[in-house]
Amino acid sequence: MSITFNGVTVEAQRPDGTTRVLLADVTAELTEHRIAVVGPNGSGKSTLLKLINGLMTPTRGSVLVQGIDVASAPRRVRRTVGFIFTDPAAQLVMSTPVDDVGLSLRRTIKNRAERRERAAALLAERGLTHVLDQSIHDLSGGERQLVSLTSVLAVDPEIIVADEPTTLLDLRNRNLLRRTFASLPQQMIISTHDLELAATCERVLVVEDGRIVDDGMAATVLPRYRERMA
Amino acid sequence: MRTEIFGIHTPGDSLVHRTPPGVKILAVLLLSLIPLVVRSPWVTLGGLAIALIVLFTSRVPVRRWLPLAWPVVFILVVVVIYQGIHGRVDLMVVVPGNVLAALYLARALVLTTSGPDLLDAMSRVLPERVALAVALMLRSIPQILDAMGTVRDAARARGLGRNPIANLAPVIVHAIALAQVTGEALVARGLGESDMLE
Repeated sequence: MSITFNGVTVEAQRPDGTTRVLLADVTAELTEHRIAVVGPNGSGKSTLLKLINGLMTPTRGSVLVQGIDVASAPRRVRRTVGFIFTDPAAQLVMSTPVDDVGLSLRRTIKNRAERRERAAALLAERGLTHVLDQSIHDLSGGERQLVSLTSVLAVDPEIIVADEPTTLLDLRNRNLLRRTFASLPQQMIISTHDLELAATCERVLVVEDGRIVDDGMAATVLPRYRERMA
Repeated sequence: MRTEIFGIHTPGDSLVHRTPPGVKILAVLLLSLIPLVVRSPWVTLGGLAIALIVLFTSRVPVRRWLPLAWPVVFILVVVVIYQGIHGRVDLMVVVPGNVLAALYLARALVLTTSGPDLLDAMSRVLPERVALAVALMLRSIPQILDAMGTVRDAARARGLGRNPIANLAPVIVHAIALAQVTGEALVARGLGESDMLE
């Protein structure tokens, strides 16, 4: 899989009419299986990720996913790019896990009983059989994040983009999510403050003030990033 | 476990469960609207009785449908006191009774109809986005109630427990932020697009 950023700049208007640059002239080719994006709050990590499935569009430049321009075919791209948000509560639409995963399957499985069976099987693969029909509000943070991951995986995306997926989780659930991510065959782009998660990735991008200021293997980039943030 | 406003679907094979979702939605609408138009204590009590009978016959455990969340009880008590102060004895029954009847009828619908069945039934007569909006409303109410609880605690901690602005403004901000993130999530999941059910 390949994601290409060609001279991407994203600008936003402030309430006083002045322009704020969220990303400045970013050029990168993302082909590795697992890529982490790290950087301080407000540095442009989320903007970078949202460009990949068209939640934001560049002011200048272009983003290509498998050669398809995201701005001109966002719906086509979204079918190959799954997005996991920091707070799964915002991502889950239906009241129970089995219904939410079933909602993702509506396009591909028309029969309701089959859809439920498939949704239950997908949740079982993530060890969530015990919460199938529970209210999503009664689940732990880790369970909710796994349900939202299952809902995303249900449509067989080729790329998964995760925006700070471990931020709201306790240590046990962070470890669980790390192990789960490690087992996925999809290409993953993960923005995170969790440097242990970043260390499991093949490549790390450091974003600061809307620019990629460091880029390379985790083993070399992360020590420099720790120093930079000291 | 929290007291859900409308409850969570409880599978079963009662007559209420087996009734087609479209018929249940129509019945809830009619039985909720008639007491609003007629405004008679007897009609209100009749509507409430029907709602309770339907819930009893659904064989859903009583603990799953009878308890009311504290904000609902609070609003009902305020309404009864307000009508009492104004000497409207009949409205002391009609207004809270209609709210209660509508709430229990909605619970009967949600408890005996799975989310996908509800979505399918609504999608047949309404634009899919409207059907999704109803599903979102059902899941968002507990989230807003959670936010109200958190904001109330924060206001108390700052000694502003009785300040209506400190209690309300952050909840509104939270609700708007939740709506924005939810909108992004729907787009990211490709939900609400015209071809979703194709």
